[in-house]
Amino acid sequence: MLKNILKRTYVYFILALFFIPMLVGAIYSFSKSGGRADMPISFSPSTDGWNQLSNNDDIAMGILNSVFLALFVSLLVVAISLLTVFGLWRQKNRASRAFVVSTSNIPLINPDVITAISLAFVFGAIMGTMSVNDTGYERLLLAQTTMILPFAITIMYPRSEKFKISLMEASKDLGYGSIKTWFKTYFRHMIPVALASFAIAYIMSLDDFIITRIVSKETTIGKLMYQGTLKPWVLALGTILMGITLASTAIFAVVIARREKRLRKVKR
Amino acid sequence: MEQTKSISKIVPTTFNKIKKLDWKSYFIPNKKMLLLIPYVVIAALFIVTPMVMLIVKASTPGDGFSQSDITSILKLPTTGQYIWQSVWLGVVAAFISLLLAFPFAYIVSRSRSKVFKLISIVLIISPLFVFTVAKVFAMKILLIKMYDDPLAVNNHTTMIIGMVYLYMPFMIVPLYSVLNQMPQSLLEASKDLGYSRLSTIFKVVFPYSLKAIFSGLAIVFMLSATSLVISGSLVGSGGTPSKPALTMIGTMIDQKAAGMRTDHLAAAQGSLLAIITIVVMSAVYCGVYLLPILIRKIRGGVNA
Repeated sequence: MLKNILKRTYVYFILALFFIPMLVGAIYSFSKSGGRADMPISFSPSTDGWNQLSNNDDIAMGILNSVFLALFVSLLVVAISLLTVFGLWRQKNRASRAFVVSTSNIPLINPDVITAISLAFVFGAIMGTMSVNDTGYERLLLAQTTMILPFAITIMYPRSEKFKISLMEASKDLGYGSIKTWFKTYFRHMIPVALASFAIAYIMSLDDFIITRIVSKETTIGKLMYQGTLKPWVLALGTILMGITLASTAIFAVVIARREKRLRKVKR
Repeated sequence: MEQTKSISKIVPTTFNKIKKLDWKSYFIPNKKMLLLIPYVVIAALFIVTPMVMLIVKASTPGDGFSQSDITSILKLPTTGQYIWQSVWLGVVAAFISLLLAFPFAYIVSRSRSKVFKLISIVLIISPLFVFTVAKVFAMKILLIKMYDDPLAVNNHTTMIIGMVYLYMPFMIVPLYSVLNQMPQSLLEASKDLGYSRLSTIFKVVFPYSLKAIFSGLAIVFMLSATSLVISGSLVGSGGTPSKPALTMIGTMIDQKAAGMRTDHLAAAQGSLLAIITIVVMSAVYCGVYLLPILIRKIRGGVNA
């Protein structure tokens, strides 16, 4: 019993290590900004950080830009990786599988900075020297998609390989066409991982500032956060995201706990 | 022989297909490969070509500067220092993450309560869904508070703390997924054979999760050593003229990349640095990744 408590204490201790800094950040989002310097050590109450989120046009623009960019990127990523993973499913041509696995490893292992500068070279060669007026939205979209795509493929591939062909055959025997069959069987099978990849792609795109800064002149929220020194509005934004994450965790926990309870009742 | 013939008569098509599969199918194109076209186009244009261009840029002098101008960046004492600093900080961060993450993953995966398991793992992953920069700033405030001096953050300890804080979940996830699938009977067998709890962990659990341990080490190392936020945001503005902010290789490449559009020399030097970083990091990465295989070979294939 005592051992169990000790074990759980360790788990809670590690979790606390992760959440204490974020809690401090949430508190300090209500402190005054230090101007050009870093934030002052002493806490001086102010709602500047939160006000800036709603009043500052640059920040609002950045958020709006990022929200839509992330949406496009993650839709593209999920669509392409679904096609790719399905193309690899029961693929007899081993060479194509080897190609996908080896090429997708490159952006996975390479640091983002290196991916970004190498992409900037290619864009420069394809689209000509980056002109002053062009903010480079397409470049950014392509670059982020390239960076995130391998992650989505790596997540989706194992589940796709587990899909059984008998399901598809049964659907076809029941008279569905191949496209309808694909949606009714394979797509349904892939929904959980597709959603997971969508969420991860969305967050990765929102969080990115390395590729954005090097590849384009577009203003995104990631770039604004990274520029300059410690700003309270960044902490405020982080707090909002943390709140959303914790709320979804709580909902998830309640759902799981209820299901467990029901299962236990059935077992009895 | 007789039997095979009769089978092939009954199911001629499948039998022939299997035969064909054995030797030729490696490169035979098929209709389903059309689905791979979008990926292949992206990979060819934006994954393979960029790597080639990186090498080309680093090795072709442009107008106004020569090859020795490009390589002059390597002669700077700071270059080697930054690379070395990135490597050792990354290695230390990876091992500290392992030390903290292993008990966590083990305890959580062995827990009988399914709710406790799921919530712990979800909670440890959930910080990954918060902006990296926001997390780094929050950490920075905490560290400044602890040192009671904004400039004191500029040291190696805070950098390692930041790395562990940002990247430890990437160690926990592979460890948990392997330990969670470890059969309980393995532990019971070890107990029956007279191992104590501690030696069970070292002689059974550790070898069982060796692959996950090393892949976790490799991931945390790569992320930490090439991180931009650690030297950029965590210690970034904490430097003074007498003690400049500690810099890592990622930041150095990033600084070169900032002037890349107009300054071709910076672009060439940046790509040279990038190539060297790739080589150094993958050498360490491969070392870490190949170590378990080596250990197994030396041990004489106990697990083989």
